[in-house]
Amino acid sequence: MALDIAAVKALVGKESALMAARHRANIPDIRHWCEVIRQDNRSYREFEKSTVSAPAALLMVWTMPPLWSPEPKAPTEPHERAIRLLEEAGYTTGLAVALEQKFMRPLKVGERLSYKVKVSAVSPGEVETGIGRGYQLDLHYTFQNQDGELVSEQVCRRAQVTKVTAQTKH
Amino acid sequence: MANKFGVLPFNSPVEPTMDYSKIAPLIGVQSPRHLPHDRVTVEDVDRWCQVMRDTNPLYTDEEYARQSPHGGLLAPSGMVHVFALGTMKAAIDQFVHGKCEFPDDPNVKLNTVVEEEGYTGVMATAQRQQHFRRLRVGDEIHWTLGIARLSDYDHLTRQGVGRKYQMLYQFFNQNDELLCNQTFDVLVYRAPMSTRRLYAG
Repeated sequence: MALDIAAVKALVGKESALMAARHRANIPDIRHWCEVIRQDNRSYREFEKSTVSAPAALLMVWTMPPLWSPEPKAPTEPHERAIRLLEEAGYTTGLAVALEQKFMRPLKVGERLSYKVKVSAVSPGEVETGIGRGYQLDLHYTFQNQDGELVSEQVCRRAQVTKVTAQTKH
Repeated sequence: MANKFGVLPFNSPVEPTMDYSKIAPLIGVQSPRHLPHDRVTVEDVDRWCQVMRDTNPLYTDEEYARQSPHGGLLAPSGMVHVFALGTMKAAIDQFVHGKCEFPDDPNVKLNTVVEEEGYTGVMATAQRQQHFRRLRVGDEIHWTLGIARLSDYDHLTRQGVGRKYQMLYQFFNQNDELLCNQTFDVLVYRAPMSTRRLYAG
C-alpha cells in the first residue's frame, strides 16, 4: 500500500485521550528496578518502611501497554494511527532514536499515572538512516497523576524504516 | 599399579572414587529458612499472566476472586519459586566474586566437595513441583533447601562421567503452612578434555 503522507501529516498536532497506567506506583516494581540497576540487596520490608517516591526512570514502565491482552486493542489514538499508516506502507520497523525527559515533580508511591501522546511532528520526506529509509515521528508524552498534576513531559523521536540493513563487521 | 604401558589391571578402579564420607552428613538436612525479597503482589502476578497468556480471573479480577470459594486473589502455583529467588547482587557476588550469600547451606557445601572431586560441569536436568496449598496475593514465602540424595556411583553420560544429586526445596507461607515441595535434579560431571577446550574457546 502506498503511503498517504497527507493522512499522516493530518495527525500532527492531534492528541490522544488520557490513558491510565495499569498499576499504581508500587513498591515491588521499585524494588525490582533498584535490584537490577543499583544492585540493591534490600528486601521489600525495608522498601516498605522507607520508600516515599519512585525513581523517575520508572514512569514509562508503569505506562507501558500490557505485553499481551486477550483482546488486542485497535489503533484508535492519533499516534497509533500514524504508526499504523507507516507500517501499512512498508515502514514496518519502529525504532526509538531519541528521548528527552523533563520531570516536574517526583512521583509518590501509590499514585496512579495517566498519560496522553501528541504527534508533534513528522519528517517532511523520507530520511536516510544507518539502517534503512524511513520517516521520523516526534511523539510528545504528557504524564500526570490521578489529580491531574503534571509529573513529566517527554519527547520521543521514532524512526519507522522499511527494513533493517545492519552492516556486518566481518 | 599400572604396568609399564600405563595400563591399569582389570579390576582396578579407572577413576579414583569419591570420598563419600564428606557428603554423607549433608544428605537429608534442610537449610535454615530463607526470607523472601518480595511479597506475592498483584503487579507481579499480572505480568506473569500477560506473558503466560493466562486469563484466569482468580489471578487478576479482584471482585471475581473475592466471591469465589478462595475469598481473594490467588497467584499461579507455578510462580512459587519466583518469589523465592535470590537477588541479582547475590548472584553476581556468587558467580563473579565467589562470595556465597549462605555458605552454610548443604547444597553450597556439596558443590564445594564435588568440585574438589573434579566434577566441575553442572547441568540442571529436571524439576518437579508438588503443591499442597494455593499461593495467595499478599503471602510472604520463605523456603528451605537441602540435598535429598546423591548417586553413590558414577554415571556415564553424554556430557562425561558424572553424579546426579537431587535438591529439595520446601516453600512455606507466613503461617508456616507448607505450600510446595520442589525437587531439582542436577548432574555434576567431569567434562572430557574436548568439552573443556570448547568452553575455554
